[in-house]
Amino acid sequence: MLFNSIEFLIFFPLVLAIYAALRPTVMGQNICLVLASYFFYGWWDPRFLVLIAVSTTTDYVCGMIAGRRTVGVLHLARAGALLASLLGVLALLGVADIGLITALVVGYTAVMSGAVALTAGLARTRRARMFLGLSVTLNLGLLGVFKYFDFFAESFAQMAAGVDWEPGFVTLDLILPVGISFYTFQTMSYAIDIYRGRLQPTDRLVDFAAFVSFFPQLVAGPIERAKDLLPQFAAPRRLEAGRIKSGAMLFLWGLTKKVVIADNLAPIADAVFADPAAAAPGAMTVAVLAFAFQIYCDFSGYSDMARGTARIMGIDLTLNFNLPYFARTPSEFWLRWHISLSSWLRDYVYIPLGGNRGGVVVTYSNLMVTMLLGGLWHGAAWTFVCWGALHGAILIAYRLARIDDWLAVAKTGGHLGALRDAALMAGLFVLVCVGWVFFRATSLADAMVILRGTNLNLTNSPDATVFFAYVLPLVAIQVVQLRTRMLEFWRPLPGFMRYNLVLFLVFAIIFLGAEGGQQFIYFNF
Amino acid sequence: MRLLKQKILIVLLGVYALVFGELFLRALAPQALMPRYVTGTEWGIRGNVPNAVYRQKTAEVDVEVRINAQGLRADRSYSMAKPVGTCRLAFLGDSYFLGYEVAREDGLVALVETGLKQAGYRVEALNFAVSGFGTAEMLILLNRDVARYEPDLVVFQWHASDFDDNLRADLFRLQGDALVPGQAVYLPGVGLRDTLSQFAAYRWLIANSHLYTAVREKAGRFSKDLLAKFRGGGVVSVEATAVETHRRSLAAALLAEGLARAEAIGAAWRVFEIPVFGTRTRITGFFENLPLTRAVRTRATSAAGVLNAAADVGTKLYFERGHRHLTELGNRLAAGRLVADILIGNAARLARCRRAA
Repeated sequence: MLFNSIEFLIFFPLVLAIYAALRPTVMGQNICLVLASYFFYGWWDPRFLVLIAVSTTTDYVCGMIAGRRTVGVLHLARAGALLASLLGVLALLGVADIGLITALVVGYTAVMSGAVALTAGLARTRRARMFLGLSVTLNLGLLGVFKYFDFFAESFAQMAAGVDWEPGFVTLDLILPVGISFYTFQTMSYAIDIYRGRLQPTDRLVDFAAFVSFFPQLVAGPIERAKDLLPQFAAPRRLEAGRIKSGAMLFLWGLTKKVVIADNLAPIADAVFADPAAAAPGAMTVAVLAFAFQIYCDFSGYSDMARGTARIMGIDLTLNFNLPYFARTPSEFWLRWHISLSSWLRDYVYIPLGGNRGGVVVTYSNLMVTMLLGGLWHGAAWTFVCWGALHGAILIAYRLARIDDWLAVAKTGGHLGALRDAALMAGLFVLVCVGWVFFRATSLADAMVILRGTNLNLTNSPDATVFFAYVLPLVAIQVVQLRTRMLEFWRPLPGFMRYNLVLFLVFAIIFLGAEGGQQFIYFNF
Repeated sequence: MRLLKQKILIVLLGVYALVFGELFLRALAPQALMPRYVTGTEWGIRGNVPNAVYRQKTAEVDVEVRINAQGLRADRSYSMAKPVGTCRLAFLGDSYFLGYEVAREDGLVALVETGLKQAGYRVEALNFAVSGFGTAEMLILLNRDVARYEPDLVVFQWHASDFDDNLRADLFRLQGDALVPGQAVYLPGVGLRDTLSQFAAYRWLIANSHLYTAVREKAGRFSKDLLAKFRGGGVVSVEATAVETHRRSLAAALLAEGLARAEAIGAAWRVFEIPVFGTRTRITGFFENLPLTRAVRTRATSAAGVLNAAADVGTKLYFERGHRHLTELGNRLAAGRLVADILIGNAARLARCRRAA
């Protein structure tokens, strides 16, 4: 279900009404959230709810053991019951076979119970490590099978063909389950944090299921950390007028970015990236710029809508975007762009690899590995690998030039400082745009055609005016956001001005928004 | 007292929102103001409001539409009996034939009349078109009204929108291969529009308000999408194909009936297709795919060919910021084609009206 759809317009108020009515009981509210979230996700394809449920129950048990807790029959029964009830509903809907369901529930419960029982005699730390391994293996396994298997199998087959060898590989041709990269990373971090002693496991399965499947951020993030989100499910939430107003405003702003800006810029980028060879050079430049703002407004718009929806329900989600195109250096960029993923990669890849503790060469190779994995996280394609490699190279180049160090001691403020910052922002923006070419292109060859073809002569692009008409007002607002250091720039406005802003956004969404309710780009990842 | 103040404030904010919306649209997204002045007729279908005079204002045009006392787009009235020595052509269609977005003299019907006069014929072209019409309504109109004007040639307009219009109207149905009468009355939205039209405020709104126009358009599209979503859910392709076949068969049967009814009143008959405009260079005709009878096919021609031949990124054949009707150039090209078709296909019928050289 999309935030920008009629279905969501009906779904959300209904859920909110039930959720509000259940306020006195935490359990009731969380059951409501889990059911709503499963419905929200199942609207797309109910079969893949099984993956979420398996990931949930496994990490629930693994988390307990990784936290050196005792897992009893009751815990296993709860996990089995969640899986059984979901599969039962799927059987009723006719999307799953009853025999297969029974086999799955019995088999899964038996394997988990067996694993718990067989390891009961082991030392707690060793057992914790084993179950952490199980959690990581399962989540990466799901990702590997559904997202990467075909890519690596095809790439291997192509390489093998180069030496006249035909391996008997077959591709699985699986559909990529929406949001799999987001919720697997979220649940993995839960088990890892517990193992590291940074988080206490929960034995309340419903709370944990709500944490994994919370519908506002289930399919495209932000990737939440359990230490931030899980405690919020342990307390009753009240619907407060202030939070509803501010959440609705944030949702409205996100929706505006998505349907008014991103969806109207999309055709400009799509036309050129679909057939770069046929595009005029100026049109290529406009298309690259259009995509840079399309993806920003699409994804940050989604994140704002997710945060707004959650805020209305009394839950605070992590900030995921903080004016990334105003970053002066790549390290600043990654502190502002898809913050929940870049911080995840920092905490669970870069730092465990050694971070910057192993000398210059090790630091740079750690950076490159982290960025390559970040690229691959977005999709199984060489274009994403190149995108990651390019960003790794940019990070390394800026570090070599010690630009962050220079900025840390450089004078702030003044005309010269502003000029310097503007130049750095512009320079980095160009590099980021080069990255977007690889990110958006359907092949490396297409990316090269576009990179070779772009120039600054925008006059031969019929879409330049449309591009500027949508982007310039956004940039103006972002300058205000930057100067006031207030992303929710409407907060200080007096009531009547805010009413005018609401009217403006509502009319813009209705009358300037692109029609058709386009999907979010990050649903593909 | 406090409650009253709150109520007044809510009303004021509501009114302010409407004014804001109107100004917003005028500044950032001006709408095509295309009011439709249609009402019910005594034969149970829609007709133009007699003596209506209204303007159509878009970013591209500002034209006056004048309807005569008989409900025809014309500057004068016509006698029922034909003038001696003059041939009468009756044009039945929707807003394309009616000449929306162009002045009367630049419309296809007027241009055909001019073209035939220039070719040496004394003719009168009567424009019976009504915005939103489908073939089913044209059949009713032909028998109940047009026949009284003793036409020598009846020209039906065809457009892909007729597929759905005919189904929705349900004035005729297919039973096997046979066309049978359906419901007797089809007056969608007419009652409400007639009621509202009594109020000057409504008349002002439909003629001048960008907000009203935008909301009406959005609401129309929204309800259509919603219907399609709920109707379309779970429809398998076999059923979809069956619906498509049914729509095409119904369209073909209605056209065959048009020919039969025209011949029954002693008139020749033709059908002329206005194609669908996708982009400036993508103009699509649907005529070729209709299961037409041989008799109909020999009388059926399309503007798609002549418009596609002229299509170019620098050539505007239809209004892109209004309701996609033919421009003056588009009308001229289409009319040229239709004049040629008439001169080839109906020369014998019009021979008595030919002026001596």
